[in-house]
Amino acid sequence: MNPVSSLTAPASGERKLRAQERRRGTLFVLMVLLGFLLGLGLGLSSAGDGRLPALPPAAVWIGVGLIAAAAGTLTLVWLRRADEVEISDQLWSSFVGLQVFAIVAPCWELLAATGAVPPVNGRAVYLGTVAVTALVHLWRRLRRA
Amino acid sequence: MSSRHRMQNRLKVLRAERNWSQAELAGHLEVSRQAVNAIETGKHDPSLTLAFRIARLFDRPIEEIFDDTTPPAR
Repeated sequence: MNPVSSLTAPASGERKLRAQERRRGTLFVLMVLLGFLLGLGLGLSSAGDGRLPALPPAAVWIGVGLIAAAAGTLTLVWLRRADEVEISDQLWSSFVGLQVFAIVAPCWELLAATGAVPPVNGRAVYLGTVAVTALVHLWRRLRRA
Repeated sequence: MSSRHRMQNRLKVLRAERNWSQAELAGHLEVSRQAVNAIETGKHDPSLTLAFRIARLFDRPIEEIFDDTTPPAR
């Protein structure tokens, strides 16, 4: 390798990485903004009663399909770009999240069957699982910072 | 029983020899800067694929970069 290429090669690698990080940041901000606008729109149109506005079934199917397709596409894009440390974080957080779900859901079900606690709230179990998964992911990232 | 032992490595030294930042090395290896930092500080053991890529980049044998000091099992 000649001296010139050995000096220029690292810079191009760093530029590439920074450009990639900028693209990721922009995508993240756009997704947050989109989520905020979607939530705001639905909140305003629900007239404060917590129910979604009445929409034609076809519109609901199309909307849900678009959200699922976008989420699936983003997951695939992330999987192709993530390095092994990010994948490791994801595996650990998914493992802990799954364990929480697999333990909490049946325990709650059993306790509810005896009348000791209210019936299982699927939304609470889902949100709890997602929250634990996200916290484990965040913790693994922060301990390396 | 699994071992929590982590390998020692000379990545930081080799990087310093070339005056590369972590981001520059990350760019060469096509991983994130956080991944390079995690490997350098012993918080992540690289996969065999990445270890070979690192060895090729620095033109050194793997065992010259990574050192597993765990005594062999009997």
